[in-house]
Amino acid sequence: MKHLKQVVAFFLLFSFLISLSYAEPLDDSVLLSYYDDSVFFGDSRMESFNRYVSGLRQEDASFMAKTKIVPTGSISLYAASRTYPSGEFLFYYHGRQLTMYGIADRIQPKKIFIMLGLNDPVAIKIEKALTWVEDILRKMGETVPDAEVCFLSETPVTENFDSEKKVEGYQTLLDQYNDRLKETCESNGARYINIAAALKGEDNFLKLDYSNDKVCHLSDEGNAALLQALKDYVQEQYDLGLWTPAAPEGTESAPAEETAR
Amino acid sequence: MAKRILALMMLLCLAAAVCCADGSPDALLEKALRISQDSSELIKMTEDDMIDIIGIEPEYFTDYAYLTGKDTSVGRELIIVRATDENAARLVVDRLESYREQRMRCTRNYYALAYRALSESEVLQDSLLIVLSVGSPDPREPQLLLQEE
Repeated sequence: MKHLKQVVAFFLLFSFLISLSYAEPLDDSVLLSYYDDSVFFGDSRMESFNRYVSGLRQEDASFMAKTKIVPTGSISLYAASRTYPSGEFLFYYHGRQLTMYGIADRIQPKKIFIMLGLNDPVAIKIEKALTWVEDILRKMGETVPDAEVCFLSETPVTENFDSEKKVEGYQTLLDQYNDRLKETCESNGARYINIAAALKGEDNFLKLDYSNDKVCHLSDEGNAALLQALKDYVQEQYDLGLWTPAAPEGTESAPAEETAR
Repeated sequence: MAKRILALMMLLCLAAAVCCADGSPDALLEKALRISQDSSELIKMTEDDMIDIIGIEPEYFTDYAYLTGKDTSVGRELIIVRATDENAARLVVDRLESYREQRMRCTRNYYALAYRALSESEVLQDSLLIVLSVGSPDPREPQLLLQEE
């Protein structure tokens, strides 16, 4: 009898897991609606991603049309964390140099996504970088308290990065940084999206095809992989019951919910 | 009856002429795509991009074209704006120059090709028509864009 109960329990668990793996795959437009009323902040990589998204809009003007992407090439995580616009590299929005917080205050987004750290570079100053992350989370919370903040993992680099930037074992350090970034986000009530995994090859480096400079910047293929990682994250949230898409306009269904993580 | 038909035809011709004039919507876009030698490689940016990236609101122009290259490291851009009036033209020139300076700051020690292209560019104006052409394969592009047709 005891064995029978174990068998039944195992069968039920197996069925549940199987049902999860066959959860309804959502349409791309539904997945990307997760990023409606959001703003993405970043550096040259986000500039490249913005250009890639603009390219996709040539075919479909509605593609991520409700998502703002605000990049500044060369900006560091440190510079972005400051509360005053000073120094050489600043965000530029609506014709003005503004802080990330000033821009967020103007836009009042529901979600804020941040990908910064290449220009510091964060992996050789992990502890300092994480204090800047905490500064950003705290100040964003003060500026736009209703917005959800999410850090994207740092993107991987190729083997060439070490010799180009005169550092050693940078990708290994970057993996450590991303692990700590995840912990920092979760302990501060923020989200973290691991996009690095989607960009790596079997050698743990950025796939060369995904890089246009073969060092650290993404090609169109790399940006496509980044976009896919953002969609996969939403599908995962949906599969886990942590997000439901908003009902199409004109229907009477309940609005999108985001439950506890 | 003949007079009425003639009047109607003249009216139709006038309407066609107005529609085909340079003042029609997207006229500057068509002009930019016709003049730029690398138009097939350029991405059309939106009115929202004009506001967010450059800081020029639609109330200041009657027509525009904002085109960028796919590779941000090269810095290829083409912006042409027909301002609504002289005051608007001053603002457009100011915003384009400010935007150009911002791009130079960000590319100076980062993207050499883009920085050089920006250094060699300038904001040009002819009455209400303003042009910023960066990194064009044709050095005549800015002047060609400024020529009225």
